[in-house]
Amino acid sequence: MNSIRRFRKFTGDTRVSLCLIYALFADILIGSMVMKDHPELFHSLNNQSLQEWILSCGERNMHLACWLFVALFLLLCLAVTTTICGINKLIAIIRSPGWHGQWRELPELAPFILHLGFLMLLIGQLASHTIGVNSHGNILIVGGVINIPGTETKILLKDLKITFFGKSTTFLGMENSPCDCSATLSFVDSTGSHERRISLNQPCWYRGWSLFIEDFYPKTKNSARTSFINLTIRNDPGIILITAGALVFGLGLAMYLFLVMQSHADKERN
Amino acid sequence: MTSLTFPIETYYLAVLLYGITVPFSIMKKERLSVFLLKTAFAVNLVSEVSGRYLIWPFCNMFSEPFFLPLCLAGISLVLTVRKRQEALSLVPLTAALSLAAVLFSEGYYPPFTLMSKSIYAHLFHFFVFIAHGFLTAGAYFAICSVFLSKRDYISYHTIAWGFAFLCTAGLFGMIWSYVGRSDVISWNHYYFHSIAIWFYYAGFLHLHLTKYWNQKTRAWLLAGGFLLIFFFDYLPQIGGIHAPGVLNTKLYELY
Repeated sequence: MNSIRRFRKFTGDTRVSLCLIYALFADILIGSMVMKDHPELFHSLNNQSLQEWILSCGERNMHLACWLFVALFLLLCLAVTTTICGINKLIAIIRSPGWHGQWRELPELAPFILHLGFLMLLIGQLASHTIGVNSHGNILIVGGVINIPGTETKILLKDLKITFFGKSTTFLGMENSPCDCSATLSFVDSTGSHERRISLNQPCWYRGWSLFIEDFYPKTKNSARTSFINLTIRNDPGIILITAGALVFGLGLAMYLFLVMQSHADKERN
Repeated sequence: MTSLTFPIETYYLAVLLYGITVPFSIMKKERLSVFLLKTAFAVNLVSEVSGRYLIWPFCNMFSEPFFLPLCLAGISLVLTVRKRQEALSLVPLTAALSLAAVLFSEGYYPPFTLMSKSIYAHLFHFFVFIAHGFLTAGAYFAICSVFLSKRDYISYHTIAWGFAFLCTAGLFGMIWSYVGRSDVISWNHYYFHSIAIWFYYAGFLHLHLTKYWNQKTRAWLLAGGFLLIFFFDYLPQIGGIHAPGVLNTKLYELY
């Protein structure tokens, strides 16, 4: 029992969290410099899960990737201290004599809500980069069909439209370069056929799967070769938690700002 | 039709007006300084809005040097409305930074990338530039207070707002990265040094819970934060004094 209490006291200490935060700052700053010199090593993390990347690239380039492993370890520790600190803070607020559980007292919970949102974001990120499906290089020409990985659902490319900047464009140096790429996809499964529109920076969703345009062809106006799109197909279980975490964090942030403004106004009055 | 040079010409006019405001703010001619600052702010705003309108829906992602003076002038004007004595102390910094964008300009229009054609790119950059304005102003107020041996009430408040804008930018950045690249994390150095800066300020906002919370420590930490923003975000976006190739196609390739 004593050791649990000691652990709670140690991890709930703000100084420990602060050390972890500044250690993370230093580690990630060093990491960003390593990334700048070796972008190709980390670029593959866009296409692979974390564990795949560790086995294929990270392990072989330990001297360049060690900062990322240190960052993951520090984030794990920070998640623990954030949880304990958050719970301690919540207990302290609820037990304080001034707390009556009324609406106007809610901003006092801002730090707890902020930390909760941060935790949800961390867990969501971990889930997003370790589980689920992340399939790249799904090339489709108009009329072409592919399956969603591991399912019977087929994707048919019905229509593909690539637009280009004209000769008299005001966008300097962009003549004949692509301006947009959009497509119509048809999802065919046991429930029938369902159409979705997809374009650059506008993915489409179908029954928990998300599809993104990773690349397309042609890239110049007068190319005579067949046009195609390259799709990324994802089933990302972490994205819901990330979205929820972002909303909770945003709410906590708004409440925190309210607190800051209130304390500032109090200081000015005094 | 508005000419492509219109935003740049109006920006030069704004720089001139910021410059004219400096001596009056130092001489404490408050009403004239505020009038000039308001005019400079309005002209800078016209430049910024017209520049974005002309290339809409593409986003001018590396226009921080042109936006930062607008943000600092905005903070000054808000403080003027609140009748804060620090309000006009930001004017020399605003004028110096506005001039830096002219003297070391890398060019107003960047190469256009398809990734930037997203409303989330606009929102991300809008909030990140505002955040940098607040964080810069907060550092400036804190250091001025140390040198003038005055009590500092305003820097923590300014930094808290800056951090809130930085978080908002981060949230929009995540959405932008997700819809464009299918991942909320962009695995490049530009993203990771932004995360490092976020942790730096997150740590700063936790410091008040410890015994290290005093005016001097706070000021030096905020100066450190400003240097991080300056070296990792501001310098790569201006030309002339950086090493050749810092702002080259490699940076744009990330987008």
